[in-house]
Amino acid sequence: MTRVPHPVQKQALRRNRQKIPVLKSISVYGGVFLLLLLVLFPFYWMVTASIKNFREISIERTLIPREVSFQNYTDLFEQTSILWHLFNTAWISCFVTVVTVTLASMSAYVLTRFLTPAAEWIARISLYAYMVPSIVLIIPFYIGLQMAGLVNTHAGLILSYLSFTLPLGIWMMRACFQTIPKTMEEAAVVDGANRFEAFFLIAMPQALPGVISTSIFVFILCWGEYLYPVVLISSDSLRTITITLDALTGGGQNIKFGLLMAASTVATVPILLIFLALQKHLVRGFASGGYE
Amino acid sequence: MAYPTTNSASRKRHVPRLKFRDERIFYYLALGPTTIVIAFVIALPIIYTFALGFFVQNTLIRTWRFAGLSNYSDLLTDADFWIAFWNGVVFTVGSTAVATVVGLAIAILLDCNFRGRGPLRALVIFPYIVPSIVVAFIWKFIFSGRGILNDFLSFIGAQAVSVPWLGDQRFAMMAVILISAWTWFPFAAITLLAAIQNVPDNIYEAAALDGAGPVRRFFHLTLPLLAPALMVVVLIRAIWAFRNYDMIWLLTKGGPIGATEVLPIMAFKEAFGLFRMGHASAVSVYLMVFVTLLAAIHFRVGARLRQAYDTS
Repeated sequence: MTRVPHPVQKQALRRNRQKIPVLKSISVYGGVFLLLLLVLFPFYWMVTASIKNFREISIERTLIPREVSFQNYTDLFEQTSILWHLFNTAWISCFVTVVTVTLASMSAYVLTRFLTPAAEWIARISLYAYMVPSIVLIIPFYIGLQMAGLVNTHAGLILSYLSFTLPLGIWMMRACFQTIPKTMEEAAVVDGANRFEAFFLIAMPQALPGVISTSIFVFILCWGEYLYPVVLISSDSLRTITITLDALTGGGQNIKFGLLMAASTVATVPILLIFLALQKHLVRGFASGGYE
Repeated sequence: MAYPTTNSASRKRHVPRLKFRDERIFYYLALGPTTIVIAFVIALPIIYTFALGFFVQNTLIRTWRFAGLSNYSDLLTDADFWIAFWNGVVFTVGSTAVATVVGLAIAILLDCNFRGRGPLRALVIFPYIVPSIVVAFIWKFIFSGRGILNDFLSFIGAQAVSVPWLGDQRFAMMAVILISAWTWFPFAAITLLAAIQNVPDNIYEAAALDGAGPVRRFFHLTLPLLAPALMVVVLIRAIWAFRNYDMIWLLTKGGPIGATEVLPIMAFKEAFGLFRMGHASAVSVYLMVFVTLLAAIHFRVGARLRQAYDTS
């Protein structure tokens, strides 16, 4: 939350800023340097390792790659159908995001506008549902989807994803609708609008920022989901990106870190793009309860 | 809601609240699908897991036998179960503490004035949104026996400690805690930063005028004022750490020799390694009970804080 300082305060702030002693600014910039190192170094190490050759990765361990080689990437694209898996992940994540946001915004709107016992219960259940360990749900999913013939299908995977995206979506959208005043909708009733018009034409446009942050969080969660696909998906052609990465470790002792880092880089790029394009919404989503 | 209305219909009916004509239809259309989905993907599975705990079941050879409470009671005397439980407690306390302390330090740093503060505030989120498997791979690489961490340690002269961190029974838990804290500190940092920004500056100015140094201001002003936010961060983080499955699994698979085996991993191995679904269900039901206890504390504290802060 950014507060707008009063003009007088602003002057005081400016004065304060001039008075910042050198010692403090040195420690601040030192802290900033450490923070950058903490956040960025692991990614730097990932990207550089992905373009190093084997000697540089495991024997010489150079900080800056001496020669650039794309061998890891060519190996990756030859050994796995990672592009296809990226496509799988993207469409599943998009689909789940659309379904989640549609259901969540409608029901969250109801939860803030109709204070019926049923609505209260759904609010409570969805918050609790978000804390239920996914390991509790995976066993019934596995058995139930097997009975329904949906194990090893994207449909089954999408259903299982809804178990964690929907509670999060409801929770975030509820926080969003709570901040939107009801007065405009009340005025609309007076003008003879119905509830559908009030929802779609008045409430939803105001909730757009919330819709965007909710979508980003749901998409990111789906993109990185590991447990459900690893249990529910067995065919190579249906894999999501996390399973592609998981399969690369192979269980053997000789982990090919170059290959792993190349695959990790490929899996991170879409998240990086989303981050660069929509970081403002991400920060706001965090503040409005968009925790994991 | 006393709202002056010119709508004659609503005045005639003397309804205390304004009502749309098609409230009912909208209500059921909006809430219906969500209720059905929640019932099928959350409520029913939970009930099923509870019930499955009463059976001895093996999906491989497809046998079912009602076993009463034996799955649940056997676990209470099972040493492995309690080891996994305590490992979970150590992991939860450790990773929550590290993530919160580091997050608090970063929140204070991000509250200072410096150039590039805006982009840095956004950048801090990045470790949090990267897929956990990528995080696990990167840190496995860094922490490996011949990784950059050991190179750095020998560079600063600590040549004796050149171990494969995640593969050593003594250090695996510590490494897992640190790595988890690395992905989770952004949550603490951003939430606490928002809380710090809500503290009015003039309190600090007054304290500074009264001669309180930065250290005293931190311990006597910042910390008490942040206590509610800290409490929420710690509780949410603890719930998520205790139920976390993928980070530890991806880093160590619960090993070496069970050193990092926690309840979710125990349940997973029972279910999809040994295919003893009944046993696995009982483990996960216990896990759910512990998480529910934490969640109950969280709701209690949250409600009390909201009360305390709304009335003041």
